[in-house]
Amino acid sequence: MNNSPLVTVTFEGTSHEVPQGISVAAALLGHIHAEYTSINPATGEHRSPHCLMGVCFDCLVEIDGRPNQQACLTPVRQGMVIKRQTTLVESA
Amino acid sequence: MQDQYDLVVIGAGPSGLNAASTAAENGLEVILVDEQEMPGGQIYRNVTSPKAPDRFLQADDRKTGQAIVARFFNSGADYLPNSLVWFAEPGRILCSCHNRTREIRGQYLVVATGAMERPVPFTGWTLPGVMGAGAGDILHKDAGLFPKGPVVIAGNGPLIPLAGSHLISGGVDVAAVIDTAPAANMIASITGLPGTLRDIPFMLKGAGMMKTLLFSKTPVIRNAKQIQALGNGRLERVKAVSAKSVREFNASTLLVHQGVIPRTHFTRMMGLAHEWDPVQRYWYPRTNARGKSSMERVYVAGDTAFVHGAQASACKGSMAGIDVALKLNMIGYDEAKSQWAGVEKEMAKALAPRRFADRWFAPAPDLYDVDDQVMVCRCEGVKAKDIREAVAQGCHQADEIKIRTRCGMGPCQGRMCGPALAEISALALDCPVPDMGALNIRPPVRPIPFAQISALAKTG
Amino acid sequence: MPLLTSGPAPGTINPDNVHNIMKQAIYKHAAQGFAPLRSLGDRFSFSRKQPGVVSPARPEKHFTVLIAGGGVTGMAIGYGLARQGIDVGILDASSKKDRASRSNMGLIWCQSKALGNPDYVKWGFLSSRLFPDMTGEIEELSGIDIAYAPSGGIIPCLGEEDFNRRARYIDDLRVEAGGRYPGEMLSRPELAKLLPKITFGNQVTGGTFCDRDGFVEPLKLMFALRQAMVRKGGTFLNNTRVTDITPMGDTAGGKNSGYIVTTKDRTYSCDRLVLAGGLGNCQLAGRFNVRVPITPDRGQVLLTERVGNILPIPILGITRTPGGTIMVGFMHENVGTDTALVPESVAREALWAESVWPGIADLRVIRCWSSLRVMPRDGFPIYDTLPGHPGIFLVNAHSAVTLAAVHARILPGFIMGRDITRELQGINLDRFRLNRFEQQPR
Repeated sequence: MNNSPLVTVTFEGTSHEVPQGISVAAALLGHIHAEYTSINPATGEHRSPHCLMGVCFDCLVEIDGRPNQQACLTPVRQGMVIKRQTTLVESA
Repeated sequence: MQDQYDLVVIGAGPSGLNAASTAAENGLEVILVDEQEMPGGQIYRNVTSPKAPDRFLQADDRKTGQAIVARFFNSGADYLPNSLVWFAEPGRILCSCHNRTREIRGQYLVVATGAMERPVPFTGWTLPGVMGAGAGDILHKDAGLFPKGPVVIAGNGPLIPLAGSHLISGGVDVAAVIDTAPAANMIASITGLPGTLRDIPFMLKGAGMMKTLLFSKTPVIRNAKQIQALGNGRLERVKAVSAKSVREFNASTLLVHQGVIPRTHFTRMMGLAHEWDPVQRYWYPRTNARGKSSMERVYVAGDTAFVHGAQASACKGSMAGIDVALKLNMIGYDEAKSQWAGVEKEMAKALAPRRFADRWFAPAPDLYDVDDQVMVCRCEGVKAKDIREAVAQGCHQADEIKIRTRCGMGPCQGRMCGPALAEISALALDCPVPDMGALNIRPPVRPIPFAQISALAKTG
Repeated sequence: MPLLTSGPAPGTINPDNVHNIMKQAIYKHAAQGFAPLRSLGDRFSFSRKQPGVVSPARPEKHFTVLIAGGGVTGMAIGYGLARQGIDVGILDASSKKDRASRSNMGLIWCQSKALGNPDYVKWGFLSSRLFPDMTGEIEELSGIDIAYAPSGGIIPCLGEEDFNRRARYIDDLRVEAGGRYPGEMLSRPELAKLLPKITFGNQVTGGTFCDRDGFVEPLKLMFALRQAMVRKGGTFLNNTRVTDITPMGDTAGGKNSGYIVTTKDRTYSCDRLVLAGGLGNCQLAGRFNVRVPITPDRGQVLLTERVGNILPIPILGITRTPGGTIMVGFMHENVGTDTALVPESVAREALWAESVWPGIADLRVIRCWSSLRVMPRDGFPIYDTLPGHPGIFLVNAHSAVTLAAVHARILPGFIMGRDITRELQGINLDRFRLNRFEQQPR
């Protein structure tokens, strides 16, 4: 059904082909089927995108080594490395 | 890029687009700054994409959106997408674009940051699989995706019948539509009915959606309360209590919607004066009929000024753009009046059904009277009982409760918990909600890399 | 109440109208936080009551001690008094300007300051020594964990010159202390060993380290003190602003018969009154012709996203809070009561932080704010009674968090009549007239 060009991204080490131009959140929800995308540092709960428009901050993931990126506001890019946000910055 | 613009517009939804268009058409130097890649805001998200015909339920909506965007691109205004505005004061904004912060100066500012879904906490609302109904719409418009079924839709607001009918038409397994509108709303909204009758398309749209719902097999539960999302680490079931029974449905996705409220973080950060609407129960920035705020040279347009929907937003944007052109002496008063006249007629039509809609979809008085264990602040894990305890310990203002409990101090800075914080504490104090005050919002209004702030000192 | 927008120019006062004009000028000054000059008070007799204020009603409740101001300072004193079984009440107004207790970095900081004022140096270290016991008490009473961390503290030095200057300062403090001083200079490699998870900037040559310093969660501290005071029998009266203070009985010859304290809706009485209202003390003390030499000192703070425990020891100006966010703030600006945030000015702080710790540049800032410290002119606390009013105590300090323990343990004795100059000389109002201790503390 989808005939837009595809890009390859990795999520938690596994490669996935997803349509170009969609948000990382849409890719995680609808193509990669990630059960959850982060662990909340205050409560320890699993979280996943909720509002999809940049307001709830529950879609935070680590993109290309940078933590605290809002997946719903970031379009996918070829070669992007996505990881769940589960740990805080451990050294700088 | 100019050294200084006549007008800087923040937000590329229908109101921002029209504010920019009308101002530019009247000869002003205008720039429109937006966080997304393509214009359209939320309601017209990706409306210029070749896939839009598949993704917009109503062809008229799509065509209207495309026309507004096309007009903007023809108007001569500058356009800066993919940019997060994190600071604004009269005369300038600071925005982050391509990992660099830049300053954009403008004599006038139009804030058109739109609206958001009313965040209402309930048991299990933080579980993966629970999303706003608007999120479902965004997934579809952005990526052509439907949420994973079985889907339950719950709440009280205009997006409920929209989401329900849309998903059912799309062949998604909709397990239930749970309507939490209190019966009293139907009576209260009758006073608005005459106005609604003036807007036949609006009525037909609503009727069409209701028809889709009624003729599907999907159970519709009315007058429901106490929605609960249940599951182990993920949504598995949705429970709803109605007058007659307790119902439970297996679900992979729960789309919730309790109405739409203005996004006021930006306007609060700027220090604009705000008013409280007792029917819809939200704060909105004070504006005059043309959108001018309490601050000189700052306008607010669209749903940020008050939630009136896309059509009215487009009109409000035009009003503001014309007013700025008048203030800057690009057009005379007669010219402005004649431009306004057309817009005003359309605006009256757009506002006609609002009285009805606002009362039909008014939040139930006990909407926020949640159980002690419900997590109110998603970011920091603060529960309703923590808020009530803070009130009991003498914290009687929203900001005091915030610093006592940490509610509102996380990454979202109170966007998702601010309304609940005020409502729950007002209930505990038995005082009007506006008496609690609102959270104090400071820049950056979006998180900004430290390096971009220090860079401001390097360039001087 | 009509106010002139500027005072009468010298020589233009119509003698027939002098009473009204002077009254207006004086009220305008009082409203701005300045007390009338003593000479005027002496030459013109006028009512101290503001027009429109009714004679105080009968007090609803009597306290042995009433404290005006419920920030960390007032609350520590209130807790300390309640702990001794003294009947204490705190009146706390919600202020837009006096928010220092709600917007500081929570540092307990005694090191490397106040050369020339050895009593104050000892005062700070004493507070640090008393902190753990006080923490234990208030945590148990309130159930609130204040996240007290006796982590020690680091002052970084950028460049050779800065390092040498700081080393000389520490040496001088050591000499003044009679040879022993709990602060030492560390080389860059030694600092790096203390903080292995961050990399210092190239210009960092080393710094001081003092193991008596540390930090708490400042908001939790304030609320824990409040709850502990209440649990010990004290009374917290929130959302109340003092509108009038009247002596009960004659005050001639420095007699104290107590005071009636009026707020918007209520009236109270007390044997002793403590003014702990921060910047608000100017207006409170101003009613008694006393000028309090404190000024608002603006600080601006940046708050980043949460990080792991990579900064267990605060660097002066960069602190990792117990919750995991990083606070950056060290500026002092004299801009009156202007708390508007100026991004370019915050940017200078950010630049400094990057020069100390370049890795901070990669973090995201989620919020900035600016707030007003309460800064006595010479930087040292003021603990005194108002001239002619031995029952009214004036307390102002800008290191309220550091001094919370001594405020809770020792100041209550001062309030109840003990002479505090045994611990601390030169902390009274007189020193400003005598121009002692002009040097600002580091």
